[in-house]
Amino acid sequence: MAELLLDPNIRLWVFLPIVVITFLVGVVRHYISILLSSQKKVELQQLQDSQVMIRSRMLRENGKYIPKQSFLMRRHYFNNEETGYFKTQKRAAAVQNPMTDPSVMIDMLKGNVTNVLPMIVIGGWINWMFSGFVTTKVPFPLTLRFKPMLQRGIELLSLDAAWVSSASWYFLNVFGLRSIYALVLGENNAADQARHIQDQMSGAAMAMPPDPKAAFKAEWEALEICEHHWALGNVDAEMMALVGPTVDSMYHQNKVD
Amino acid sequence: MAEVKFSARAYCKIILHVAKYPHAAVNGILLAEETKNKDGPKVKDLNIVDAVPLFHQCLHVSPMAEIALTQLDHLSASSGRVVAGYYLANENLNDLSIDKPGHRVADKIAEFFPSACLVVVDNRRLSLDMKKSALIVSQFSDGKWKNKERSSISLEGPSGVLQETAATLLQHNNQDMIVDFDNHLDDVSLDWMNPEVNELIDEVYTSCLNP
Amino acid sequence: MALNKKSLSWSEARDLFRTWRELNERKSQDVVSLWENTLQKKVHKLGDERLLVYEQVCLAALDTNRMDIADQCLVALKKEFSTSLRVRKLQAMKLEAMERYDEALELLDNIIRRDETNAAPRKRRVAILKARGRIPEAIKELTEYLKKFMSDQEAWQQLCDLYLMETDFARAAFCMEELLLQNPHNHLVHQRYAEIRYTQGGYENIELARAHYCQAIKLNPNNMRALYGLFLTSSNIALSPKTTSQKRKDAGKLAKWALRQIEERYESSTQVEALESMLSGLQLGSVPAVTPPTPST
Repeated sequence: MAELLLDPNIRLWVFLPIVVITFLVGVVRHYISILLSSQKKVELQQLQDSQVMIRSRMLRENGKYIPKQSFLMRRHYFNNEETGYFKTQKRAAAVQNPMTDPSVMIDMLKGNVTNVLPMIVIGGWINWMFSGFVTTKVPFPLTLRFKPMLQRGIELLSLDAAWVSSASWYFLNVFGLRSIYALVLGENNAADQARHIQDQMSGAAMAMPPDPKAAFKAEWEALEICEHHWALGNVDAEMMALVGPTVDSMYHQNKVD
Repeated sequence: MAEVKFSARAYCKIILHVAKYPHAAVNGILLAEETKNKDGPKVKDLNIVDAVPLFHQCLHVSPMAEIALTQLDHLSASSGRVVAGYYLANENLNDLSIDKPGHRVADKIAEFFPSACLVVVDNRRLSLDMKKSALIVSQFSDGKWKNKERSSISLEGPSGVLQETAATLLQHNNQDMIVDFDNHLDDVSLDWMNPEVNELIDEVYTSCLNP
Repeated sequence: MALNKKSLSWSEARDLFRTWRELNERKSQDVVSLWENTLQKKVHKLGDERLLVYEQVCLAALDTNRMDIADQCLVALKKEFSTSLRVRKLQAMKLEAMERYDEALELLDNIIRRDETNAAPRKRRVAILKARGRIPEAIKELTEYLKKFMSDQEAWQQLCDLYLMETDFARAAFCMEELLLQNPHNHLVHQRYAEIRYTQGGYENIELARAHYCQAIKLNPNNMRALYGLFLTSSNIALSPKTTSQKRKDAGKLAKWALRQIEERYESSTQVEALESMLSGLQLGSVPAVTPPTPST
């Protein structure tokens, strides 16, 4: 495809302004969401459950440093059929349907308002204002199927799909400026679009998965199969190796005590 | 009634140790001069010449206490002294009790030194002017620890001088100088017999004696 | 630490405060005197950090009985955060410091009612019970707390101390095991656990103590308490009638090795002479007459 020469005015009046607008909108969005954000209320039960999960995980990972009896005692506390924590604690199934739970609804609404709405509005405005020309060229080749998406408003069949319109430059910026936001606003900033979309997809907004029952079951299984190999069983033999063998012990090496 | 006498060095070292760790329980050993006569069933007058601070962390576990006592036995024997008592100060301001580990150590000491004494520091009496003696003493006799009245506890020197010495030391924040066995275990170059502190106490005592 | 307080500028004082906050050090005397001499007049220059400094100075003032300074800080904090639960907790601590325990308890209960997931006021309740000398009640309250907040290391440590005060060594060991699970590579935890097991007594416990002392030495070869502990436990095992002769020899060797390590760290050997005599007791002690003692290296 022929190399196109773009008017330098495009660079000055379209390319750079879109970057600036996206960045500033992101910053404004961050501060607005801080103002609007509600305090995430954690329930005592959830806190207790997450602490229990941490303790159980510690037991699995580091159980080999405590004596076998202690390990078994703790596993019994968690896993026992009649009295174990993971077996007896009943939790209501998490609200799977967001429509019925009002607080989740409000949170979703707030999330949408602060993130998705401005994106759509500004995307549309840019599309309306900066339409009719290509803004930039992406550095890698694209197939023709991308053309209707990236070249909205430019009906040229022969144009290389790599040339994109202002709207697509805008969307590129929205996702690309994430690291700049991290630099300027610190981690965990609300201007981070991509993270929001990721969050919405995974559905788990908190540290504790919304379904404790499944988590408990998983942890119970993990504990059941966990074996205890006491890490300190050989430590005095290792110390002896440090100290060095004596004539006697070498002679008696094969002797079983 | 047998008298228990505390030398300037012993009294001040106890006070300094307690003042260095106001938030913790502390304990230590009391040393007396070795006497030639055999210890009879009668309770004798006791002259405590030195105090050796031991611990300020986790007083209830015994391994390091055993090590300290073994070493102390040996060290004091070479300088003509003998382990003659045990002092402690509790973590709680109002607590004047002696818990089981304390009794265990004290009983062990009494096994070898029948007129041993057991001192509890009254935290409430500690102040920057140290007007009243802060020690509550019990002495071992007939298999039991009996509380001693204030009249049979005496401090070295004319009345009030030792109090003044202790007060001066506290006012100059000298408690940071004292080294106990815990400090020694953290850094073996520190001497838990505290020769520098001994010298300082002697200096301050003499200056209080002859103002 | 000997601080030349007059010579520090306000920015140096501020940095020192920051370091102490990060390391969680409780240098109350120094904080109060630095505050009075240097930082107090320049507090407006600290920006948002001044609120953290107010909290730090308030706690230091409560430690050193400077209620005037504590009041000052509380007033300043209240102006900024009139409804903050953290500030209210500080007010409860001030009541604690003045020994007005019932009022403090009321305030803390209030905070807990407002926010059930707030761990700090619950822990202050335990602290008040401990301050009043009611150790069994403190233990009970702390165990209830730990049922909800199972991974709180500070709480397990405190519970261990409380059980030790009651000489309940088995339960104290249990608490230490919790700390071991969370910090398996910390030599101090292994050493403290070994001490508790040693104090508990009994052949198995002493063997366990020895294993943990060895682990502590592996993690930090300069831990004096662990070296002494290894010496003690090995000597005990070597002298115990329950040990087999091979184990007795090994124990004797370990004890000797530990003693050498300890000796190396001392400049003069007077300290260690006493322990040497214990060691010679090992060789002449209950070693059966058939096998001669191993020659010392």
